[in-house]
Amino acid sequence: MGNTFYITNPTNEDLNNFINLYIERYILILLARCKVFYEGRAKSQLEEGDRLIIIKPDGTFLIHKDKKREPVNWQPPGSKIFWSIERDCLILNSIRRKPREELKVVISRVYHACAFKCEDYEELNLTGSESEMAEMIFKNPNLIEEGFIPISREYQIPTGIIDILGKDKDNRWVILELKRRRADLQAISQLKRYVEYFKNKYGEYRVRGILVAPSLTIGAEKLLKEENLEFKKLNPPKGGKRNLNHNVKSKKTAVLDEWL
Amino acid sequence: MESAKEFKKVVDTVSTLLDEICFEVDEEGIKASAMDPSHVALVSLEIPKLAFEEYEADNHDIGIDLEAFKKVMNRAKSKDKLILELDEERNKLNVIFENTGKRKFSLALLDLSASSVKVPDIEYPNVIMIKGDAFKEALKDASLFSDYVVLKADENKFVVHAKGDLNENEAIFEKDCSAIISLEVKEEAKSAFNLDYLIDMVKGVSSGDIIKIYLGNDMPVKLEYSIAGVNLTFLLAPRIEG
Repeated sequence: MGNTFYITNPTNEDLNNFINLYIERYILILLARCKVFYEGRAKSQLEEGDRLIIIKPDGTFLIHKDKKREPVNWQPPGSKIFWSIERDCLILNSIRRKPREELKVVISRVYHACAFKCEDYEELNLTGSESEMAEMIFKNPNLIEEGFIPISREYQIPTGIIDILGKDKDNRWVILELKRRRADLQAISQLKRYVEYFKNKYGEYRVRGILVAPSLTIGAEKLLKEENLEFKKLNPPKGGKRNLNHNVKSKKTAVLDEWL
Repeated sequence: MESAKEFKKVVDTVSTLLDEICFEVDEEGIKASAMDPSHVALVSLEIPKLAFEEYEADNHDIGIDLEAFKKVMNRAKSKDKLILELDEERNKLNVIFENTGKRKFSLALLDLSASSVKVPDIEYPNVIMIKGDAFKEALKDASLFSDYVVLKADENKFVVHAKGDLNENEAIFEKDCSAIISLEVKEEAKSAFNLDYLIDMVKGVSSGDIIKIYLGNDMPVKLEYSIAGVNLTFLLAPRIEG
């Protein structure tokens, strides 16, 4: 599995799929022509021009011009990203809550978009990520259900990347979509797409889709039920220091389930 | 409860491992136990009704967001008394600090079911009772060089040993030193544990407190101590050769 993906001069549809796939998971780098509107402690506007935009999974948002060291606009980690494609423009909204600051980028043209799965062996995130959830599940499959066998991580299919692909005790395919925060409609749609792809390949009754997250929005719960998908409540591991992946030595930690 | 500030230590400690908890309340007291999301640590607390100046309760399961509870408890001042009140109608837990006035915080209850996880009945060959701050300092020393620590016990001493890539350190507590209250070793043992978890588990310990450590070979370590009449038990899974 590669760790960079890119598209050049994309159509709106390709761009839509690309962003949908990688935003908030990988570092997104956009080379684009855009206007920038900032409103918060002050108000400012940047006229249309070519910019380098970097969006990190932790919410950090950077806009660089072709000169100087500092970004011309930015938002700190923890900022939430919203995006949509309207009238041929890609609109990115990065919102910070305290103090309330909004950075709106109206992109008229994306020359190149790149997604970079940036592996870091020193855990810098402050909260458990989906990657840590996946590791937790591989170490202890019973967290999902008894008899669950995880087989593959980041399994690539034409319509996207499946977080964890596995089988249950009745040998049915199980697709897990992991979210570290409350899952919304978009997450269910993602899971639905993957399950549909697999159903077409292996037959209706043999595929289960499970959304694994701390909670669901009401809309997501509704769609989940309509589509006959399942939900398993799971919280991402707490605290970045406690990254069990951080074992450069040979010792690994056991799970208490053995003794309970 | 006499001291809100003391109880704050309990919440601080438990919230390092868990995001939420379900308090099982009945006429005899309050209990709660849960594993952290990665199933490496187990926290169990027990507050017998005698820990309270006044106690009136019937059976309830009260689910609480520990992040919120921790923030509220942080507002406790030195002379504050703590009152916990269940508002069934509004589905809230009232946390009240009483001193010169009455400060009331209402926390929404979470829909959690009582934990099915209990502290297992494991037989340990060794039990060490050690002064809390001595053990805390030993763990802090260990954190200088490594992210895991080896706890060793033999009939003469209890040792906290950490080894980094280049440097290492050891805290040696001999049987008759002032930090050791008692040392019961039936079988020499040593096991390794993640330091972060251990340090979080002893967070609430203050000087004067005594920690009871149950240690075996390649077994989870069990820690017991009390704050403000609250009995805390922690279980931490060992690190094993990968």
